[in-house]
Amino acid sequence: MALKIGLEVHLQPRTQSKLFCSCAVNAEQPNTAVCPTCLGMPGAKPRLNRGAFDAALKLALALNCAIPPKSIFARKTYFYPDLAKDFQITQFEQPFAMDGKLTVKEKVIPITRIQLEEDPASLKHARSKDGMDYVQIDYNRSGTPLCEIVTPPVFGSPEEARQFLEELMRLADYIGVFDAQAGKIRADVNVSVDKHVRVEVKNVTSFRDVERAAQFEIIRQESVVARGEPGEQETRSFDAKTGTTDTMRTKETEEEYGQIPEPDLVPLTITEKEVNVIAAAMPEPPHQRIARFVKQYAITQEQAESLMSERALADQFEDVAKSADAKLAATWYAYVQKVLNFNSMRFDRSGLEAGHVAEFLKLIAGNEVSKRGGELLLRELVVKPQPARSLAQKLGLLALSRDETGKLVEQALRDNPQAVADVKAGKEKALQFLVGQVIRLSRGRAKEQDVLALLKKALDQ
Amino acid sequence: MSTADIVQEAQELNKKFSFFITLADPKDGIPVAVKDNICTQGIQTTAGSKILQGYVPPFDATVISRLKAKGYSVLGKTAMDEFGFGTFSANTSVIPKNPHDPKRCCGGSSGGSAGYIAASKHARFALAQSTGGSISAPAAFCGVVGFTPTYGRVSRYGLVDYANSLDKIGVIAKTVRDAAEAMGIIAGKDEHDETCQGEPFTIPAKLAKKLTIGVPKEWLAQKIDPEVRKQFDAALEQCKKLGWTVKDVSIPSTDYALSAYYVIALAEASTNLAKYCGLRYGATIQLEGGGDYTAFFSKVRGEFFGQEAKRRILLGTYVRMAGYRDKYYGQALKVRQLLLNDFAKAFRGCDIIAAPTMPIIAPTFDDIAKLSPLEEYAMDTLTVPANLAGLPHLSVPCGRAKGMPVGLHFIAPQGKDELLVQAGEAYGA
Repeated sequence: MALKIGLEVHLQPRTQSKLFCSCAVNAEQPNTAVCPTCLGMPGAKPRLNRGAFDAALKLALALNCAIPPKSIFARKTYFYPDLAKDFQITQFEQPFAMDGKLTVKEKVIPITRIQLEEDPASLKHARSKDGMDYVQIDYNRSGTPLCEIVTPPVFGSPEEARQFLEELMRLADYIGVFDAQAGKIRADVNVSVDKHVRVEVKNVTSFRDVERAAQFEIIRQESVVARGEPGEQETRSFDAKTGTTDTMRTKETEEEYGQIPEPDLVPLTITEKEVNVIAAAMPEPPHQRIARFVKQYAITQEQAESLMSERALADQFEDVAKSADAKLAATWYAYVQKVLNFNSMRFDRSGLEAGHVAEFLKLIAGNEVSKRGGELLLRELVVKPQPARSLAQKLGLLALSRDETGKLVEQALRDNPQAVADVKAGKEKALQFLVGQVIRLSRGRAKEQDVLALLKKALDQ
Repeated sequence: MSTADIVQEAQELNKKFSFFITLADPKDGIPVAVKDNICTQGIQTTAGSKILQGYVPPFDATVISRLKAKGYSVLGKTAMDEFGFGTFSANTSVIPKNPHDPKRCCGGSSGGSAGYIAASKHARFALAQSTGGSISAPAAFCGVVGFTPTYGRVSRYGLVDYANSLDKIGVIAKTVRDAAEAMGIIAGKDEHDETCQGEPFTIPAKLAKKLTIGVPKEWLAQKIDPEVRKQFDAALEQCKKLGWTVKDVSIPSTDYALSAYYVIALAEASTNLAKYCGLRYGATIQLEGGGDYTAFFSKVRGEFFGQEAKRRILLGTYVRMAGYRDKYYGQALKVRQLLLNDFAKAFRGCDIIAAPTMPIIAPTFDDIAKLSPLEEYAMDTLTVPANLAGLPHLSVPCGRAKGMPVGLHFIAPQGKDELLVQAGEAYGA
C-alpha cells in the first residue's frame, strides 16, 4: 500500500466544567471562565473532574477499547503563549484507553490509544490602528477536556479519513458524550506517499479540511518524489484559505517535550466493576441497532442508518412504531429529516414529540391527508410542533367528505363536456383527466378513490 | 503580648538579620511568619525570586486559611533560597543572618523562618517548607525545632512548587509542643490537593513506651564534622538514659539517594518554572524593537532567574529529555523505591531512626562563597533520604559545637508523625 494516512483526533467530551478545575466550559465572553488553576497561577493545583473521565470512558467503550486499571497523567513541556503553565497535562506512558476499533463503511479502523488531556487557551491574532500585529489570549478554553484518539496509518484515501471522522463524531454524539453544537473536534493528519517519509499536518479544524489537507499533501509529496528529492520528515500547518500546507518545523528542530508523570495528580484508577457499571448503562451500539431495526421493523438498511443519525430520533421511531405501521413511520421520518436539514435543525432540538408523529401517521394511514398534504403538514409540524389533526384542519389539508367531493365531481363534469363525451366513447385517458380536474378543484384534498367512484357512478347513469 | 508587640519586634529583628522579604503589618490576630513560597492573599509572594517580584496572589494557601480560621494573621514572608534552591538561604537577594552569629547563614531554604523563631521572644512557630531538608537544615543551624510531616499530610495547595512529589509544608518552632500545636491546625485532607489524603494531626499523649532507636551506619560513614559527631554521640547517651535502646540499622541505598533526589527534584522543578515567562504575573520587560514570544520569554527568564535557578532548569530539563529520561529520571525513580524498601526493612528493627541533622554547623558566608554547587548539594546527604522517601522527620537542638547549635534528627515511619512528637518531647525538646 503506497499511500498511508493516519489521524490524531481531538474531541471535546461533553462536560459542564473543565478537566482540572470547576470553571465552566465553552464560555463566550473572553476570560470570564477562569481561575488560578486554569490560568497557571503559582501555587494552584489541578484536580481531576471525574465527570470528564466518565464521558471519556463511555467514548472509549463505544470504540471497543481496553481500559487499563490504572493510567497516569504526564506533563508535556513546551513554550507557547496559549499554554498557561508552559506545560500541558496529558497522558503519555499509560493512557486511559487502548486497542479499540471503529467500523466505517465496512472497514475496521483500529484505534491505537485514547488519552485524556487539557486544551490550551485560544489565541486571536489582531492588528492595532497603528499597524502593529498582536495576539489576544482567551483562557476560557484553557483546561477544557479533550480526548486524543490516535489511529495507525490505515486510511487508503483522504475520503476514508474524512468518513472516519464523521462516523466518530456521529457515534460520540449518539452516545451523548459530544455536544455537536458547542463541542470542538479537530485533527492532526499524518500523510506519507510511497518513497516519501511521514509528514504531520497539525490542527486541521474541519472534516472537509482534513480531506483537503491530505489531498494537498499527496500531490506535494508525489511531486517531491517525482523530482527525485528525498523528502523531509516534518510537521506542517494547514491554511484553510488556500488549501495548502506549509513547513512548521523539520526533524532537526522537532520539539522535545521531556514528559514526566504529573506529580500533582494521583494515578487515575478504575476497577473492572466500575467499568462494567458504565458499560451496562451504555446505549445499544448503533450498528447493532441498525441490524435489529432492519429485521424487527422490516425497513431498509438505508432507512435504519438514517434513523440512527441521532439517538433521540431512533428512540422516537421505536416509540411511534409501537402504535403505528413501522414502514410507514420510517418513510415519513425520512421526510422529517429532510425538513430538519432544510432548516439546519437537529431533531433533538426540534421539540417534535412521538404523539405528534403518531397522530400524523394516523391521518396518512386513514387517507385523511394525502401524500402531498402530508409533506406540507410536516414542513409546518417539524418547525412548530403541535397536535397534527388540528394543524391539518387549520392548514386546510384534511381530506374532503364524500358529499363535498360529489359537488366538485358535478362541477368537473359540467366544465368538461368533451371529456365526458370521450369517456363515453371508451377513452380511458379522458377518465384520468377528469380525476385530475376534481383533485385540482379540491386543491389536493379529495380522496382519489372517492373521486374515481363518484365519477364512474355519474358517467354510468 | 499584643499583635503590635509582635509586629514591632519583627521589624526590629528584620533590620538586624533580614529575616523577611515582605513585612505585612497585621492589625489583629496572632501574627505568624510564613515562608515566602506559601501564597498569601493580598500579600506579595515571590518564593525568593526576582521573577515573581510584585506578585500578589488572589488566594490563600490552604494552610493560611486554616491558620486564619484559628485567629492567626500573616506577619510577613520569610527569606528563602530562590524557589527553595539551596541549603543556606544564600541563593537569593534577601539573605537572612544567623542570630547566633551574623557572619553565618541561617541554613536553608527556610532560613528566614528558622532565624526569626530563634531570635524572637514572642513567636512560637513559623510556617516553613521542605523539599530535601529545607526545614531540618535551618532548624539545626539556628537551634530551633523543625517538623517536617509525612508527604501528603499537609495540603500543598497554594505552595509555589519546587518539586511536587517531594514538597512538604511544615513548621519551625520553639518547642516540639509548639510544632505539634501548629500541625494540629494545618494538617489533614484538602479537596484542593489530590495528593493530600492524610489524617488530621492529633496532639498525642506522653510517650508510654521505651523506644528503640536505629542509627544508619551508612550515614555515620559520611563526612561529618567531629564536633557535630560528638554532640550526636552525647545525644544518643541521653536517649539511653531515658531507657531507650540504641542500635545500628542499615540503609544500603544511601549512596544513591542524593543523586536520585537531585534528578527527580530538578526534573520536576524545570517543568514548574516553565510558567514564569513574564506574560501573566510577576516581573516583565518591554522588548526593545519588538520580537516574538520566544525572544520575549527568553529575555525575561534570562534577566530575572538567579544563577542557581538557571542551573537547576538546565539539569532538570536534561534528565527528562528523550534518550536520557530512562537513564537518569527512570533510574532515579527506581532508587527511590529501593530507598523506601530499605527504610521499611530498617523500621522492622526500630521505632525511630536517629542521625545528626546536618554534617556541619552553620557555615560563614565566606565559606559558602567558596563551595562548588556539588559541595553544596552534598550538604543535604543526611536530610535527603527521609525527604525522598516522604517520611516524617523532626530536628531538635542537641548541644553546641564551636558555639553554634547542632541538630538531632529523628525520622519515623510513614504517617507516624505523632510518634515523632512523643519522642521529641521525651527527649526534652
